[in-house]
Amino acid sequence: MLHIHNLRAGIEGKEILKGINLDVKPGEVHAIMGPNGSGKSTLASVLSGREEYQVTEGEVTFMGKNLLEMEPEDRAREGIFLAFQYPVEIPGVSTVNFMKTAINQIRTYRGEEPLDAVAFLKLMKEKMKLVEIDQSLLNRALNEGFSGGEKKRNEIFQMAMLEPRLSILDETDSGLDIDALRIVANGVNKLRNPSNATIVVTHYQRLLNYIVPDYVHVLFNGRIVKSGDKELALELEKKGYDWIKNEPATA
Amino acid sequence: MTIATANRNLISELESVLPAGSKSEPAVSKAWEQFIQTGLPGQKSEEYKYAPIARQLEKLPALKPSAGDVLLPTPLPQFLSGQTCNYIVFVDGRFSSAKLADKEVKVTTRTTEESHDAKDPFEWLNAAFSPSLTIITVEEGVALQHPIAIVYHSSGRGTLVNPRWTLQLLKGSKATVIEMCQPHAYELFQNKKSVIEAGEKASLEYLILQDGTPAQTEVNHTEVRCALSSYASCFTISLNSRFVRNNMKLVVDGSQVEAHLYGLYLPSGDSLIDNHTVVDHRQPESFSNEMYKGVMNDRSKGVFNGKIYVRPHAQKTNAFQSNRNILLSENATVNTKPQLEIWADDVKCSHGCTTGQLDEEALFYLRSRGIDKRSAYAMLLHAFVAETFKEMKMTQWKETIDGLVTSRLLKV
Repeated sequence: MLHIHNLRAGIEGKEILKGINLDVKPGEVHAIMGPNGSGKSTLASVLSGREEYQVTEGEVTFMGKNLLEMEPEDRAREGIFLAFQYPVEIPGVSTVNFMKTAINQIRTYRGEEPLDAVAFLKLMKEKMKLVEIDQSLLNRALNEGFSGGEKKRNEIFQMAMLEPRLSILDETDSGLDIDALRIVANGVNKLRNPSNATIVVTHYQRLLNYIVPDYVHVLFNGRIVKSGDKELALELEKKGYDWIKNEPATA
Repeated sequence: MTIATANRNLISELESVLPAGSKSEPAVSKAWEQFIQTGLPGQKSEEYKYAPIARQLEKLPALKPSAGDVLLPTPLPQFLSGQTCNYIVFVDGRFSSAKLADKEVKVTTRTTEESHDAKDPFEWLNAAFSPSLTIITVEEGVALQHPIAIVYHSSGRGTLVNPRWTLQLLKGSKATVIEMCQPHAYELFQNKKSVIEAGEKASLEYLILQDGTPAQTEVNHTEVRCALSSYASCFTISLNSRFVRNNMKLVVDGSQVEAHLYGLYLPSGDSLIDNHTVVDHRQPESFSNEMYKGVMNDRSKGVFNGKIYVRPHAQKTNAFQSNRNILLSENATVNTKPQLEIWADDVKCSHGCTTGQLDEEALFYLRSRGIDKRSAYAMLLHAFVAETFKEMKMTQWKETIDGLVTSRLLKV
């Protein structure tokens, strides 16, 4: 599904990713861990198409298409979803209106009929239940005045609505208390199926108790220096990141 | 050619087209004297610093009022189609006809007398060319069933039009008013003067819609006076004109007044929209709130100047002002200046102005959900500007304006 080969990228002339290789297949959950500044969020940003990052080398294909040539909206339409570390507050735009526009633009892109108001509301009700989000939140302006937990829950709600093929959760656990973490993780787990995949970017192992990964990769200094299964995350939790810094690159 | 000589030329040009014999009328002669004394605002004029009106007038064809009365079939603006209104129609700046739906509305005319406190040369110019004042009156205690629509038509025969009217909302009356031009493509100069007097406990909703006159140059003097316990909500929506200067003055002349001034300006191309507003609190215990927003595209210019006066006597005044701007292009500019003069000591006043670009992070957020760049832009801009008309109670107008604004924003 996603194939990353020797990806080098940076911002303002500073190289941050120094040759990333990663393959993600349908049904898999990959965790990307690493200390602060290792390039985790840069990887998420490059995959979702943030324009301030420049790719200098390597390739990324998604469902066989060259991802790096696509505009952010086309990546979303192809099925990539980024759950933001810091979801943006947008006064004056309601979540409902925003989601309706997004869904219908995606449907049009895929050659499907746009949803009418009734079908849209039905879909929304169903997904709201799935991610345990309240209607009153969605009637408000997008993320405006939301608590940290409400913002993250709204991200997962949007993910449920858009039914992406590949979800990238960028530090979704940051700023969440244990209850919010559980609700968010439950939402993600309910959305998992054999045809979609998830990349969980996180600093801590905590989230991985709830969203259990098939693979864990440790990113350090712009490279994946170690890959393993969920046991690797537990080992990191015990030993910290220091021991990994001395390991040679494995990928 | 220097601006000084340009002014002289314009003034003699204007003098030569004053209607024959009108200078023998004392009101006209006085207005004309005052006008030439003040002269046209030049480069050094503080009030017209960012709106080079003299240079703009120079670019227009020879200024002259249309001769004689013009009788025109006067179609109603699309904006009002299907709506029953109290229509008051001006053609080439002169009162032409009234088609009234409510019997509680009266229209009369009388000789113009410019008030002595007029400071702006264009007010005197208007008085010199508008010997007749149109007075619209709404009876005491009546909530009008239909809106009052003041519509300006142009025959294309005059390049100088000076509409002038006064609306009196007598004690306890209630009216919704719209003022607009029938769209046209003539190059002309509109110099308007209007006064609305909201009497005791009167209630006013007032929309000035500036759209559909891409070749028009405008200076508009609009004064709204609020008496004891009256309510006024004014919306100035400027979508499409080449050069617009709005002088909007709100006089709070009573206590327990609630007044709102909203403004939206969306200049594009090479156009300029300048809003100068004055909120003058002359009596204690009243409330005013002002919110103006602008989105400047291409090489256009926006100007906002907001004066708030709180007179010594006007204790317990609450007066708020905000002006926010978005520049969409590197060549667009905005000049914004709040000016608060407060003589009373027990008041709450605040002002704030911001100028910026569209939030890139918000734009990316919308795009990352599959919304194309253009729609995402339009969505964010719409959210920004919609605040300026969301309080409009005439829902039909509000929705039409929303549509006009949305289609404009999709083009940026």
